[in-house]
Amino acid sequence: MMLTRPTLALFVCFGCFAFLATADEPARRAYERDVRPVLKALCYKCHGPDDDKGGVRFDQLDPDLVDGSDTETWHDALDQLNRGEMPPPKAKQPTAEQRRLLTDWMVSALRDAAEARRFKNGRVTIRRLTRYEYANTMRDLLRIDLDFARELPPDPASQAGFLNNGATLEMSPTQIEVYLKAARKALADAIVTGEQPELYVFTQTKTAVGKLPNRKVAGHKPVRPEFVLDLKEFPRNGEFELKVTARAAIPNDQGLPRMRVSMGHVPGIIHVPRGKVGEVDVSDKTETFTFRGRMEDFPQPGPIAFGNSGFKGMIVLIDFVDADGNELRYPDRTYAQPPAKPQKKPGGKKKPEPKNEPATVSFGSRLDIEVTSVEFKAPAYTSWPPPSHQRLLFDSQNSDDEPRYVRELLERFMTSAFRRPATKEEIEQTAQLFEVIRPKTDSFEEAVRETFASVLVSPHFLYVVERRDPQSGNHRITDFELASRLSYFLWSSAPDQQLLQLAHQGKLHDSKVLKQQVERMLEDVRSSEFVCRFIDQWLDLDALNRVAVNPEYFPDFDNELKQDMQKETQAYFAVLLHEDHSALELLDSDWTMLNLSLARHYGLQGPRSSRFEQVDLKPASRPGGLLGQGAFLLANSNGEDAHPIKRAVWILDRLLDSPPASPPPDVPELDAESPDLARLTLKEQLEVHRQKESCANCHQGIDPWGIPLENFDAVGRWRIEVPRHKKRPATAVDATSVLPDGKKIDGVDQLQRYLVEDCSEKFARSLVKRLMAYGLGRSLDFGDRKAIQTLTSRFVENDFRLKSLIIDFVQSETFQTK
Amino acid sequence: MKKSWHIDRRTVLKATGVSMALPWLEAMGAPDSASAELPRRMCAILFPFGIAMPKDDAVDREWGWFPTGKGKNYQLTNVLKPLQPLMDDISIFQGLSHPRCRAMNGHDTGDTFLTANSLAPVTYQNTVSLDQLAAKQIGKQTRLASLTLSTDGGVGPRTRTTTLSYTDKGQPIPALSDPKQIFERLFGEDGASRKDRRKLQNSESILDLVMDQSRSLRRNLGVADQRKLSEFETSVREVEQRVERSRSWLDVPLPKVDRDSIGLDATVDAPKEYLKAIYELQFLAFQTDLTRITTYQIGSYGPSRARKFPGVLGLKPDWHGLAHAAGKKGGPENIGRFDQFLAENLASFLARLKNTPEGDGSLLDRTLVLYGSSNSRTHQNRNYPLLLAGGTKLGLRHNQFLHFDDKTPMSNLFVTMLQALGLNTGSFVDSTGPLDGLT
Repeated sequence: MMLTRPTLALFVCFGCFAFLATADEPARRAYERDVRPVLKALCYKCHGPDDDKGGVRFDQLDPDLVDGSDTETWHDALDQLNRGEMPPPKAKQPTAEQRRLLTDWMVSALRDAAEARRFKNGRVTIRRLTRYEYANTMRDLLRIDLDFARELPPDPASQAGFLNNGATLEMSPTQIEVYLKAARKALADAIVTGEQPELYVFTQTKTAVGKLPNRKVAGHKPVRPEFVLDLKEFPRNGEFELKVTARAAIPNDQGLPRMRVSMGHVPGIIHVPRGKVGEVDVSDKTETFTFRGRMEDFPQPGPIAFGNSGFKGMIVLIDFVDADGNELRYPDRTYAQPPAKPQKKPGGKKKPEPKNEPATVSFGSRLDIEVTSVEFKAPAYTSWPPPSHQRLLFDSQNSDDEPRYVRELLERFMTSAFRRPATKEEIEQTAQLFEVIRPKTDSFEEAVRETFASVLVSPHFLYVVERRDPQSGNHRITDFELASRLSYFLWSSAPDQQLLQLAHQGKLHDSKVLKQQVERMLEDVRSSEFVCRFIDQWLDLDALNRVAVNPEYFPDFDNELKQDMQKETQAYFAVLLHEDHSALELLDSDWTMLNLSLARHYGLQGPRSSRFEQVDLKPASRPGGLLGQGAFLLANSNGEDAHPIKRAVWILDRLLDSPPASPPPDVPELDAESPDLARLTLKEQLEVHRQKESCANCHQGIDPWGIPLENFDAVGRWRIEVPRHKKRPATAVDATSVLPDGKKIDGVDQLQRYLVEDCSEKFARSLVKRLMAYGLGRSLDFGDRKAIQTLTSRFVENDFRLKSLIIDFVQSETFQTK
Repeated sequence: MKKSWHIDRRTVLKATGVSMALPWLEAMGAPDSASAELPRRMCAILFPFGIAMPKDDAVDREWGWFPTGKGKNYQLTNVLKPLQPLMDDISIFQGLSHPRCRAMNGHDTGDTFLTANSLAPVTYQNTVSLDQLAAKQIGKQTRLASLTLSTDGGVGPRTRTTTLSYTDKGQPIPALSDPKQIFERLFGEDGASRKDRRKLQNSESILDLVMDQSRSLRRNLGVADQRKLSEFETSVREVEQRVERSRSWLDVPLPKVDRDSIGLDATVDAPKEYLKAIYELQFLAFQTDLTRITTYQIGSYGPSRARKFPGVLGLKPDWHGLAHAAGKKGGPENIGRFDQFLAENLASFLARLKNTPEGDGSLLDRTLVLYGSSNSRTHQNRNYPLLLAGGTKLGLRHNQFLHFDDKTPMSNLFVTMLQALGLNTGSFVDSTGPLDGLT
């Protein structure tokens, strides 16, 4: 839900006395008699008529937690009291009796409020599909591989960082328009009319030769492709398939070379291909690589013949790069250029077909790739009409009777789109739309497309809907609703046939069946959606894209590494999940997942290709776990140096679920004059910062968590020295700090040990809470406390195994009720 | 020989890469209004995190955002120097802010830049924004009532929203961020063909149907869910109106714009090209009269992609960090250089409007461009750095640096703007009247 930290709950409800009248009389009397005097004695000094520290005034807080507007503030007050943060150590402390009285009152009032609210308003359980859920659902429903969400605006993150929170996900006219447009586009693709479009097939075994510019044109660097496929004729849309057969020569066990395939044109500059079709590692075995894409995704040449390059149509370009991404260029090769005049380049004899017959060096003696054939095919239909058409407009004995036939079609389509059986009434209503449209359209197919488009903008499709059942008091969701919860949790897409089948049979909620299904779903490739989405959002890996690495400091840093870092963390989590490791390995371990470029970046050895593989960190003595991973380290730096505050906030928020409060208004700046901050290391600057009383309050609890990571520079490489910069001399890294509880920590190893030994339960709870918020698609509230506790205990008992946590969660009442 | 402004406009369009299919003249105004009045337009731009404010005697005063001096006797510093040639069309303000937002958290005021209200407790509910209020009236005359843009796109989280525009119910309007997307929205669909006509008719039936579905679904939901679903219904209703409006535009072909003349491939990884494209699209939207109201949020106060802009440009990294360090030694120059870059981009946009004739003047003469931040020093919600450009033919006076005390709400500026736009408005939220010194 919205931000609800105490410092933000500044707003006092002046109308609260009006509400009191509606509150339970005896409860209010009990509050006035027992609770208020204790609050007055302990809290009013700072949070009362004379002061409103953090914007909280207990004298004005509404004690009616059911109807009042201060419930979340009470909730926070309880948390702080329980954590011993309030009253602060210097202030008067509550007696055991007072503490108990306050806690008892708050806990019971909150429980009543949560229960009451749930029954009265209910939580927001209806939730719009996120951008990516919508894209996946459309793709799975229509079996068309197109990014349908491209034109949708991005979704907002909830306070806990999740994009799938029903309350935060909104709807706007723009979105409705995009949904309708996307639906029409998709259906025009899925349901076809007429004859199969002409198939374009084109094969080349040798590169085409033409003139390519050898200097910059309009800011675009010249390209020197190894292989050019020159398509004279090609369709303007639809799916294409590109098959490239190649093998590599890899002497001396070097990293595998890569082949980069791109297509299309920069408008106006025909030689420069634009869209990347794909990039693959090439081994020394001959292999055929298949790339797929949509023609409309690649900029195409205009109808006019362009320039005098010698290339006539769409061009596909293939480049070879070594494992580090550097192009493999050899002076004795002439690439896809016309034969050069013989006098150039001593020693290199020129031939018209330079690619496959290097003049001087035979294939095999140096790092190289050989492309033996390239085949282009478009539009790449496996059949006609395409499978999507056959699925949506299936054969029926009624196909001559349009009204009957369309109702049959709708029943099937709406049932998969709505993820539950469509009712007779719904089908009839939609069929009537068809009848309105049909007389105005030329073909049955076109009318069906338009009718089906209405299904794809229906609230039943765009939202995950859980109906209220006034009859059953237990708020249990139906088996079909359970199927959707499961599939959006673990696949970020609609339930498949098997889940719907089990729901139809009423078996899905059976705990044995559920367990089997979760296991099946996690084994399915679609579970990579869970791994990536959950990890990205929980750990805020998108922050990588919000940091610009300063090339002045890191001249060798390649921005592609950011993606590798994100993949490292995703792949690491995937192993923990699929191989059933302890989730504590997120805090500490001695291995990680690396590919060649990232391993190089960390100064490690092992992987030879872009594929991620498990790497043992023991010999390298680089710490494992999230705290040693570039995704965390770089995302929480400023692109020049490590940033202990950012790193600390991340640990507190994402791993320990104790995010520091937001910065208050009117934060003072540091004085420029004294002392000269520029000469100080960041750690020293932070000390100056903390000396200021107004900063100290918060930062004493923050900074010490980030300082032990000082051995990692901004881009996540190990360092023992903070390099010299301008006026500041080089200094040895000082990674010692004292945590708020007095624990002395020296460096990342000790921090990791501390986290594992002293914070494992806190971490477990944090992970449980984030997993629940993600799985339920809503913010957790007081009503979830028991479930959090139970799941956390079970998780700890089960040695922090993620799979069993997921199964427990799915089998829990929380997952199966609204 | 005196040419009519229409012709001038066409000549200019051709020169700027816009080629127009006839009947372009009709496309100038709404098909249903034969009014000869030239359009009045507005664009509001926010950048986050505030600026540097070195003291007047400081060595790096030149890198402070605010000019020195006062009234007509002012000097621009390095930061706003790029605007110098345009100062006849610009007023700069010191001391303005939204009084109701001063006690809000330092990073929450992007939400309220154009709404002037403090956010409601707990729900962070907002109220209508300046641009949407204007669009309610002005927007009727164009294909798109308004255009909402931001670098981050979407709505973003409450208190850190990535949009400046809010509906009359206070709901944030998702912003577009990708130049290609924006281009599509503006110039993508031409309603002229027979097939499109049919589609519009169908759209109406489709929307009717899903509206019915939503209504009957609503009966089966809890209160919170019902409220959620009402967003859907409001949106569908709004689209119905848009469809209705599109029908009246059916006979007017969309202006044809050469997409290659705009750097539509620009992404946030190349801030210079990106800002150029965003400004260019707003310019084209105004020039072709597709809309008269735009907003653009250069960065949000939250985890914005714009935070890395300075770093990518080779300046000191992390915008937010720069703002924090604006008081440190060397800090003003570090952030000042970036603010100067932003001013350069603004200047190109204004110059583009200025160099495009319209009537007896230029596009800029009838376009109000509000530009500024809702922080002065970072986290400080007062004394916003603000300027207003354009509108001399709408009755505004410029070339001045106006000082106000903090009793003057920024809403007074909004009132002046609304009145200049031709709205019959006497107040906006907490205004006490129009702003002194502008008219």
